[in-house]
Amino acid sequence: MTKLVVFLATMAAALWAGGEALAKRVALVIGNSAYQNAPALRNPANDAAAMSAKFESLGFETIEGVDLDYDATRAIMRDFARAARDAEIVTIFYAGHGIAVDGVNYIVPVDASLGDPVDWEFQVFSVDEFMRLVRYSSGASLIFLDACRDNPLATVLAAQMGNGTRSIGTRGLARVDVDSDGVGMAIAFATSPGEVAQDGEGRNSPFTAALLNHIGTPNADITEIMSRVTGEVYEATGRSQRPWVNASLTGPVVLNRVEGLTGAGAADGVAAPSGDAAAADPDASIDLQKFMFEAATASNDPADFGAYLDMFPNGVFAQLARNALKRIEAGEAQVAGLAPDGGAAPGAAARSDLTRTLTQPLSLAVTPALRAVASGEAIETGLALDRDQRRAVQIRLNVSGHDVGGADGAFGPRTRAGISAWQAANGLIATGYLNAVQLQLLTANTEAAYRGYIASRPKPASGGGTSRRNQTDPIGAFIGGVAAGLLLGK
Amino acid sequence: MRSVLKTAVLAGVALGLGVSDGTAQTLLPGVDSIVRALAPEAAGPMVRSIAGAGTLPFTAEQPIPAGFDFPVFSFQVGFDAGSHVLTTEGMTALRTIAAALLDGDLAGSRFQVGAHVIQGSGLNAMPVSARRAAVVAEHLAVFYGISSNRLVPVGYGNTKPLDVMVPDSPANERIEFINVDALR
Repeated sequence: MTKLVVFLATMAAALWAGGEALAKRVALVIGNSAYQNAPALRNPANDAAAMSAKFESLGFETIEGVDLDYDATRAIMRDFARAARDAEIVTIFYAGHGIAVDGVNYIVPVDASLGDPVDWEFQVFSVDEFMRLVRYSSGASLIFLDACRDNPLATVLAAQMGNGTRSIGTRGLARVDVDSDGVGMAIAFATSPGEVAQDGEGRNSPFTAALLNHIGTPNADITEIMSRVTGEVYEATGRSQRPWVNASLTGPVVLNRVEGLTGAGAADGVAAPSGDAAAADPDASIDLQKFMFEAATASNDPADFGAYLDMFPNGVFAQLARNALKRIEAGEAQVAGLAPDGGAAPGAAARSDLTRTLTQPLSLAVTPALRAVASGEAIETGLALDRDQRRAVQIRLNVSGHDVGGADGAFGPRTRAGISAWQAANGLIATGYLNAVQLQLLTANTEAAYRGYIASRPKPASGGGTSRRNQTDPIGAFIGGVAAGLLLGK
Repeated sequence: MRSVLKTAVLAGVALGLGVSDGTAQTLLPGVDSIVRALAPEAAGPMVRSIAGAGTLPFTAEQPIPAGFDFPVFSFQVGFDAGSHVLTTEGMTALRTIAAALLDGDLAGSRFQVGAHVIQGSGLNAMPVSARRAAVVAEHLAVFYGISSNRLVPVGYGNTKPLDVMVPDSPANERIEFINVDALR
């Protein structure tokens, strides 16, 4: 069973600045396990119970519902909306089946059948509705969506809807963009959009387990919590599931403020797996900070400064550590110093700097000249990429953290979104289409990871076979679903 | 007919054809020997005799006819087979070329970038070679700041194989940097 966990965090303009531990907090927690028209899910009820307890321990008034049908979902949403109106922080956690149609994500009540191409929309709730609910509150809002990806109901619906006028993600939810109307907002998928997330071997999904570990970290900002959750999920899944965060927060949001620890990020889940247990003695924390920072200063090793910052992102030496890292990076950049800018011949100095790097693996820099080269559909068409080359591009996007799903050699919306994300991450205009030099940048700078990926596969790229593609290709799965539906319908 | 270009230093940069073993050995000579091969002084007697005469029936933008001994550095740049998409091996070789082109001894020189391909199955040699030459020049300009005024891309198609006995030999697929200062 694969599972998608989506985390959405929306922050209203008036962020909870901390201090008032008595501020009203409301959490809505839903776990749907017992589906009537689909196999039951193992974990959502467990996930919901654990998250309810966690939210309550953090001072949330919790409204919990398990195995809700359509009417019960509607009722609990109404209760929640009322309670949330005057809350300072509101949270929604949903575990169960989800479905994406035309890029809109829906949660699926336990009585949904989705067998009707018209009626299905009246059996589900869009995530947008949940996002509207949290906007009744003027405070900070967090939404966690934990939705099973390997969704038989979606396949049924895909079969009913027939041809491609609507896009149905049978294997996952669609990415959600944060709106930017001045309201701070963060959105994180537990895995990259369209990618397979795991249900996990234990009682909870990897994402929920990580969330339980870290959400109570004292004095930690929600973005820091999410980065810890991201790291833990990534490691816990053998680096197969990489959470995805989209944030435009306007300020810090602290769920568990502990007086006396102010200014010092508490020890994280590495030292104290429960997170909560990290409410350490502040004096001990200062001593540890001092020790770590002095050790880093002595070694002048970026890794040591990084270790300090990981542990104490808001620590008393944090700014000094960041300054030191900047200095070290600047020094290294001077040594590496390739990529002379502009058209003028940079001369002998550039040559000798470049010569020094010739024994290193190739790493291309994003130059102003690169940013100036236009990209677009016609330009990419001019590259005349064949299927194998497109497959390689998709793998390279995947290994660079821009998940485009299975490498099928066809550039669909997910690949375009992945190219856009990669472009944005490199300071390039996000057109979704590559030009020659962008392809060179992508190729050179993903070479090691690409080789690693190719080497880790049982067969080379061209020998992957159809079973592999069927396994990971949502388009293939969708077409397959339609074909099966037609056959059954006759 | 063998190329009579004077200093055809042929470097066996492994052709990176898509997914290879990832341990391609770069046999490219050092920067200094590339600089020496491409320095204006490396021109042969014929080019030296006509240097500055300005009476040649061709320009730096045109294929250079056989018999002219311009300074040249020839090597096999890795492209995906039949394509003008550079491999990482190809780009790694170009990094060394870039270091040579940025050397003070070559800083004032202009180079023709000549791309030679073989007539593979269904491959239209001339346009592919022209695009490969342009891609090499663009790569050097964009990533290493080597002015495009110094690089003149020219596609040779399969008109000048090194090994005329085996026209489809991979050895015939190459990029030649030619110092064309004498054509000013």
